[in-house]
Amino acid sequence: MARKVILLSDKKFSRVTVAVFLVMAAITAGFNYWIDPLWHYGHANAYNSVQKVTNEREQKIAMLHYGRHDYDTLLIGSSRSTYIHPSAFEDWDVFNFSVANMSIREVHSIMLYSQSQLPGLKRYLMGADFFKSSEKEAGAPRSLANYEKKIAQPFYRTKNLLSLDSLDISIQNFLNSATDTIDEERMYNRKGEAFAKKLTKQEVDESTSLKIERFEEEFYGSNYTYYKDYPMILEKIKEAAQPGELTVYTTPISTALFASLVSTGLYEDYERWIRDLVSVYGGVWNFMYPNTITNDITNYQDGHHFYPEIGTLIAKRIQHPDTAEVPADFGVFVTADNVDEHLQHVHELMWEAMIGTDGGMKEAE
Amino acid sequence: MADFGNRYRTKACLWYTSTQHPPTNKFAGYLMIFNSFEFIFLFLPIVWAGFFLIGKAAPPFAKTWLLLASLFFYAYWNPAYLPLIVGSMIVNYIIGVFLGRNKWLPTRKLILTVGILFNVALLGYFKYRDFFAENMNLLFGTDIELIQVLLPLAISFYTFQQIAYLVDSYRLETNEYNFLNYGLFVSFFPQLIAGPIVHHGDMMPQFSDRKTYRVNYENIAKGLVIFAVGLFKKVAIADTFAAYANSGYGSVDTLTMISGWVTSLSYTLQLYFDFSGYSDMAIGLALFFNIRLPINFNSPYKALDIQDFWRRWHITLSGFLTKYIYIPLGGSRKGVPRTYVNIFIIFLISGFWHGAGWTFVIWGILHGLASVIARIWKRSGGRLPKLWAWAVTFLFVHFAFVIFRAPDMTVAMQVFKAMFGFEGLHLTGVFSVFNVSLGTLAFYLAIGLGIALFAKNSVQIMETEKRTPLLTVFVIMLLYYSAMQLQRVSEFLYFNF
Repeated sequence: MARKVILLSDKKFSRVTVAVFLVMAAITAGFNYWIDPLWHYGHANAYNSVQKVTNEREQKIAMLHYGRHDYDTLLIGSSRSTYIHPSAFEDWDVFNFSVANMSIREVHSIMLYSQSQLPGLKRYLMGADFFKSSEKEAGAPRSLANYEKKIAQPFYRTKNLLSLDSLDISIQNFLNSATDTIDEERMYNRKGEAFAKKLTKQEVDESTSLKIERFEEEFYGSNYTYYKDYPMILEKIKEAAQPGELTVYTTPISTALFASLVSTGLYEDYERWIRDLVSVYGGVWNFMYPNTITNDITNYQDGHHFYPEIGTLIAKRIQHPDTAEVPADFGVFVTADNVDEHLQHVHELMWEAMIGTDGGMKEAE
Repeated sequence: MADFGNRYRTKACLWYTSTQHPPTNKFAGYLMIFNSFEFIFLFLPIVWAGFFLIGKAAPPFAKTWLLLASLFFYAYWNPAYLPLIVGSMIVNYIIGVFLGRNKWLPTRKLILTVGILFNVALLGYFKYRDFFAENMNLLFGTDIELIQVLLPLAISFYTFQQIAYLVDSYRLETNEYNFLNYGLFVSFFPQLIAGPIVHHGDMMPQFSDRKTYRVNYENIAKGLVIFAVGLFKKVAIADTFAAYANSGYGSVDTLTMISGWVTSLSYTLQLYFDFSGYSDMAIGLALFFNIRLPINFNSPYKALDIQDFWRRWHITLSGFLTKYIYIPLGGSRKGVPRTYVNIFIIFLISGFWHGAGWTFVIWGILHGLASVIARIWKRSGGRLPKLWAWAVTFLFVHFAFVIFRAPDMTVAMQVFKAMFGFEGLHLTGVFSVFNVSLGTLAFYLAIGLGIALFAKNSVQIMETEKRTPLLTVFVIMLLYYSAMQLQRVSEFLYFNF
């Protein structure tokens, strides 16, 4: 017997189609709103407490644009600085605008944009990275302009609610939040604080070795030429911070990666970089040299990116130079008065650290 | 396809100019394409609801509402060009009415000529002036300044449609003189920016019909089906192939035989799914308002000869060129050689209409030659087995699209060289060009070709598929998937540096 085919009238077909479509769209938008994977709304709940990174520039600029406007301190840096939690600073209300692969050429535009959004801004913290001072990394102009345009598009937030891409991230955030799982290199909470997946010693050794290999292929050795206009860019940043207070620090890479920098012949460039930072800013917090923290590879995910606990130590050292909560040899405020002495000391530490390593032997020869 | 020939080349979609020109204010400057949030979730529901609510009480006001909405749709892209289309509509309407009402006036032909020249001048100035100036400068060493003016959206479409109105008014074939109907015939938003090219005789009576202003669920159901299919073709299929075609054309120096074919096939599929998808959406949207637009595509890649192809591809353009150029030139009434010349002329014009560039002209010439050769072959009794006939036709169309897409002949020749193996046959390197494995590309291309060659086309689905629960689910899923793809979230690649 032939099966009877159910047919809908045109009216029913039209109504059901439109109604179901709208319901599905509304559920998608509602779920995306609840999880807020692109950080447009700011609400927190148990199921959006762990957030994936899609594009930090877009996410943070949106957070700044649509969120609170009463921060008094701006922290700017590259991926390393993302792991410094705003809550690590006492009394300062910090917005951390650190983003992946940030170029020194971007800092100025980030400062200007932040100033347009945060009327009470009176303090800036900037994380400087040595490998970002090369011609290759600092030479090309970069700015936030495209992101500014993007978030200014009409209905920008609503459009992102009605998106399967957003839904995909929402579902991942939901699952990570429900199980309180950090399973990526960087995931955020709703306060803009970044966390990293905890690796075993063996995994850290492997990722560090890969990172060093990549740095030697892409950033160090013959790939590096100190960018001649770097000090000029630093000056521009200094001017943009006026009349606010600007504190600059160097990001602490592991001693293993530092040794690679030295063994590929860049120690003089490192010294020049420190001297330029001191010369432009009068003083810089240097954390990038062999010390208790950088010597311990388990403080890192890959020898380059430290865990948030180390970010907290940086914050404490900057805010309270004499604090006993931070290892005494972690962080030195370098000025014109002590720069020679400090660099001499770093030089000695470096040789001590490198004795026995392949890089050290090569350099020594 | 006229106004966006150049855009197809670079961005492979017709609204490319919207990204080239920064908006003048927050809510203007972007083309409100059918596959956009603004259109689907705001403009369309508001205009639709307003149309039938007003239409219930007073159809003329609903007509006015629709005309204003269409002009808003146009102005959303660039308000500065609104006076141009409105001015063009007014001038053509006045001339058309004058010609239609003054049957015995001796100066009618002169007035018609003035009207046609007005339209041609408008199109010539905005679309072709710089092309001629560049070539004059190149040939004669002159220094004619380029105006580099932004091409007004849809100018090729509304110019052609209005020339047809003038000609028919002169021939006393127009009998309706209502500016609202005329304005809607020209500017009705579903067909305004990318066709189908509509005829006043088909459109204006529909706007006069009182039934148009009452909700008709049969039309809505049909409209939903074809709109959903068109939206999916555009968003899910065409845009996927667009990425591959753009990657290939963006790195022609590195193309080899495999990547050359992937590039060209991607573009051939992108163009079909993009343009036919947009036409499907236009037909569906018009049906929501009880307006029937002519079909524009009928599975063109199933064609078995080049004449068959042009009966299936951009059907309304072929119809226009036949009625208003080929037949006035004499058509096939003046002997075989003259017929061939006439055919060649319409394809030359067609090529030039698609874009102001030599590659378009060459593309038109190739299609003209192919059409003439096909006729000679048929007249001489030549026949090919069906599979061969299809293969020859498809390959010709495909090769011609390589030229159509290329920014210049140098790039086109680079793609051809790669396709014909002059750059080697390398299986490796495909990933670096397309960012996708060869297996994935082959899979997608097979699916795309399979749909184009074996599946029912959108009009057939709309007309023949019964309103079963399965069709309902199918349409809902197409709509949902496509609408939720309108906003893509781009991830940042260099993550931890």
